[in-house]
Amino acid sequence: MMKNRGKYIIAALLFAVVFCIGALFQRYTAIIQGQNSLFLFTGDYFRETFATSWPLSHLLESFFVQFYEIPMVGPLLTALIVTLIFLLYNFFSQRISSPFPIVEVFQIVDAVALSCFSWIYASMAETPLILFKILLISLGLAIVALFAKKKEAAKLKIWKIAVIALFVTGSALFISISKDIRSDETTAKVRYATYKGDWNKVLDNVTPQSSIDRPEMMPYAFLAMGFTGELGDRLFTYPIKNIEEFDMEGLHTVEGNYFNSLLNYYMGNHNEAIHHIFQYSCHFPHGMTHFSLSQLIRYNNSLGNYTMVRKYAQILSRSPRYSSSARKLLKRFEGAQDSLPPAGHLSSSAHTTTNNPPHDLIQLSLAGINSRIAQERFLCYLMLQGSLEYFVEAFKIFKWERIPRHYEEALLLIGVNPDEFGISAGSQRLFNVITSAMMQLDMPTVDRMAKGTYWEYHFYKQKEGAFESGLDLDPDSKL
Amino acid sequence: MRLIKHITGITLIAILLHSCSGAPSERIPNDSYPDIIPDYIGVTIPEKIAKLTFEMTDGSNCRYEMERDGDTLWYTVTSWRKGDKMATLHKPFPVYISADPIDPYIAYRLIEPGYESWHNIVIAQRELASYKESRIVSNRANDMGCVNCHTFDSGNPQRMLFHARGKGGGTVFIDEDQVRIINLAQVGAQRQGTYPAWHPSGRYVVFSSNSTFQCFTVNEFQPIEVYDTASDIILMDLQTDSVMLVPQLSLESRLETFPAWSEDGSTLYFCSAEAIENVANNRGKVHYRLMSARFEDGQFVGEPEELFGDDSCSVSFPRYNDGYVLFTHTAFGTFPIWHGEADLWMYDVESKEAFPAEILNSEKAESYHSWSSNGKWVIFGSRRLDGRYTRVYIAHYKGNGEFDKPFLLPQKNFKHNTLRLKSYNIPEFIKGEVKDYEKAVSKLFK
Repeated sequence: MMKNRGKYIIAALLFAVVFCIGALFQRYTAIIQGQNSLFLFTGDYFRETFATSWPLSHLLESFFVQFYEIPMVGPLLTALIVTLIFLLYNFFSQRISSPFPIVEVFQIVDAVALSCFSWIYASMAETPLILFKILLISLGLAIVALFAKKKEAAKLKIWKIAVIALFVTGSALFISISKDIRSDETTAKVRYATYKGDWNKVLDNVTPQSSIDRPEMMPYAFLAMGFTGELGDRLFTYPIKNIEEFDMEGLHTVEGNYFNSLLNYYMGNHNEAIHHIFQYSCHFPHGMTHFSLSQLIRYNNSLGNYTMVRKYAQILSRSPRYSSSARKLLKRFEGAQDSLPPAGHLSSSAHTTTNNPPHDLIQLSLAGINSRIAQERFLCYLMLQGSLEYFVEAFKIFKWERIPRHYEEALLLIGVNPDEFGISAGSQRLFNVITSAMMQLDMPTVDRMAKGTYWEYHFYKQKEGAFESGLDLDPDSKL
Repeated sequence: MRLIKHITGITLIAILLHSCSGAPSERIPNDSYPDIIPDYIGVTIPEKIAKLTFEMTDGSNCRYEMERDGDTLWYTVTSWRKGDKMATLHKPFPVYISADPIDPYIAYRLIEPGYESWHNIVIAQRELASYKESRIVSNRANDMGCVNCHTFDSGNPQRMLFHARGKGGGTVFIDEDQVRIINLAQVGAQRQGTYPAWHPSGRYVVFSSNSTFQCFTVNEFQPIEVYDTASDIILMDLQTDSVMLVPQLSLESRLETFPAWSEDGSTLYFCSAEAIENVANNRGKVHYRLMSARFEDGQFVGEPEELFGDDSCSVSFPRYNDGYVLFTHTAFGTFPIWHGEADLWMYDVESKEAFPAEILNSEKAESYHSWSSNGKWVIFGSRRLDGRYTRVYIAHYKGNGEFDKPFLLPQKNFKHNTLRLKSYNIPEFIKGEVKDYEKAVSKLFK
C-alpha cells in the first residue's frame, strides 16, 4: 500500500508540475495547436487518417487536441497524458522482468524518465503527436503486462526519490527556460490576440524593444497600430530597417498565410482572406483545420456567400468540439440567400497578385474598398519605399483631423509648406534642429534627435544607398 | 429483351425504407413532387448505376418506396418533420432508365478547390454500379508534387498518361505494366505538356503547352482568374517518343489550347485567342474561338479554320461526338471552373451553329466534360451544389444535339457531397478498372 501510495504521489506530482508549467509557459501554444487540429466524423476524414503511418495515434491526437483550443484544456490534457504514460509504463515495468538487472534497479525511475522525455519532446514539437504515440505504446505494454504476474515491487528509496525529483524539476526547468519554447509561446500569444482583435495585447507583446530580437513579429504590431490609430505615430519607433519587415509576405509559410488571411479580412478584401486561408490549410495533414474552417465561415459570411457558410458549418457540425456552435450557426443561416456580385461580369479591373502588398492595396481602392487601415498602410509603404512625391499626393487625398507624427516628418523631408499642410510646431522645431546639426555635420546630435522618427529610417536608407532622394542640404532651400 | 422488361415491368423491384423509425402512420397525399436534393426528378440513368440516394431539401425526414414500371422507376416519397402527427405523401416522381450502356468506371482527380498550393491530390476511379472508389495514383508518389491532366487512350484503363510535377517530374505514360516518365520539356520542341488529347489510333498525343498564371479578384463573384500568357500545340509520336511543335497551331500572336480529336482522328478541335498584353488587367478581353485543323498521316495539313466564337464569349474544352462539339461557354477567359456563368454548349459541325445545352446547365459553373466510349453519355463537372466544390454529373445523350436531364453521381449518402472537402476534377469515362499505380509511380521518383 505504501509502495503504491508512493507511485500515486509521484503521479500526482507529475500531473501538477506538467499542468502548471503548461499553463504558465505553453498556454497559447496549446490554443494554436487546438486551432490547427481537425477531427471530423466523416468517411473521408477516417480514410485519410488511416492512410498515414501511425493512424491510431493520429486519430487519438486529433481527437484530444481539438479541445486544446479551449483555454487551459491543453495543459490539462497534456498533464493527464504524461501522467498516464507514467502509470501505464510503470504498470508494465512492475510486472515484466528485464533480462538486464540494472533495469530492475531503476524501476519507477524509468517510467518517470519516459514520461519526462515525452513531455519535453512534445513541448518542443509542432504538435503533441509524440505523446499519443508513446501513450499507445505504453498502453500496449500495459495490456501485455496484464497477463504477467506482479513482481515483488522495489522499495522507493531515497536516491530514487532524488533522481525522480531531478527528472521532474529538470524537465520543468528546461521547458520554462527554453528560448524556443518561449519564443513559440509569444508567437502563439500574438497570433491568438490578432485573431481575437485584442490589439492592446498584441502591442504589449510586440514592443520596439522585443522587436530587436524578433523583427519577424513587427507586422503584427503594425497591423494592431492600424486599428489603434497609432501607425503614423509609432511605426518608426520600431527597429524597422526594410520594407519587407512591414508586411509578412511569404505566401508559402504558415505564419505568412495566417497573418495575411487576417490582414485581408480586417481590410475588407474577403476573397484574398479566403485565398490565404486555403494556402494556410495546405500546411496541415488534412488540408483543413478547425481554424481554417471557422475562418472560411467568417470570411464567406462577410462576402455574403451563405451557401458556403452553411457548407462549412455542416462540416464543423461533425466535429465534437464545434458541433453545437455549428448547429446554432446552421439554424441562423437557414434559408439565407447569397448576396454576391453577378457572375461573368467584372465590376473593375482590380486584381491582386502573389506577394505584392503595395500593388494589392491600390487594387482595394480601385475596387471601391475604402479601408482606413489599407489607406494608412499604403502611405506607410510609400514612406518605406522613399517615394515621398507620391506620398504627398496620396496624403492630400485623405482628410486629417490631426496629422500623425511620421507623416509630418515625411512631409517636412520632401519640403512642403508646413503651414499649408498644418504641420505641428513641434515637428517643425525638431526638423530645424536636425537640419542645423546636419549642416554642422554634428552626427551624434542628428542620431540622438532623429531616433524613433521617419528621418532616422530615411537617413539609414540613404546611407545604404537605397534612397536617392532625401534631405536637401542646400542652404538656399526653402526649408 | 424489351418485351421481357415490360412483362416484368409492373413487378415491385424494391421497397427501400429510409429513416423508418418515428414516421407518423397517417399520411396526407400531396399533389406536388417532393423537394429533394439532389434533384433526381425526371432524370435518365443507365441500367447499371449505384442506387440513387437523396434527402429533403428542407431537412425533414423522408422515406421512399421504389417501383419499376418498364423503363421507369417510380419513387414515392413520404416526408415529415420531427414531432409531426401526419406525414406528407408526395406525388411519385419518375426516373427513366436508358437502354444505352455506360462505361463501367469513371476517373477523376480529387483536389481542394484552392489557389496556388495543395496538399493531398488523388487521381481516383469510381465504379458506377456501386459506390466503390479507389486510388489510381496520388501525389504521395511524387513527394506531394502536383499530379494532373490524366487522360486515357480512348477510355482504355491500361493506357493512360498524366503529369507528375515537382523534382524529377514529367509526363507519366502507363501502358499496362510499363510505367515510364518523360520530361517533354527536355525533348524535341522543348515545351512542357499541359492539356493532352490522345489520338484515336493510340499512336499520337497532342498537348497544348501553356504558360499559366493567375490573379485574384477583389470581392468579385469569381475569386480567381487563371490565364495564359503563351500557349502552343505540340505533337508527340509514341512510336518514336518524338515531340514536335505544330507551326500552324503555335502562332506567336495567338494562344492555342484545349486540343481534342474527332472520332476518326482526322480533325483536331482546339481553342485559340488573340495574345494580348497585360492579361491580368485585360482579362475581360480574352476571348477564345473554337477552331479545327486537319490531320493526315501523322501531320497537320492546311490552315486551321475558325468555327465559332466572337468577342462576347470564350470557348473551352471542345469535345467532339456524333457531328457535334460540346464545349464550355464563358463570358471571357480560359479557365471556366471559376466562372459562375460557365455553361455547356453544343456546336453543330454541319450547320455551323452553336446553342446552349440548356438541360445540362445551372446558375453556377459547368465546366470540364467528356463523352462515354459509345457517345451515349456525357459526364461533366458542375459547381451547382454550392458554387465552389465541383461535383460530377452524368447525362444521357438523346442524339441530334439533345440531352436528357443529368443526374448527380450517386453517393451512399447524399451528405458525402457536402462533407467532402475536395473537388472532382477532369471526370473521364473508362472502360474498366485501372490498377493502383501508386507504387510503380513512386519508383520513378526514387
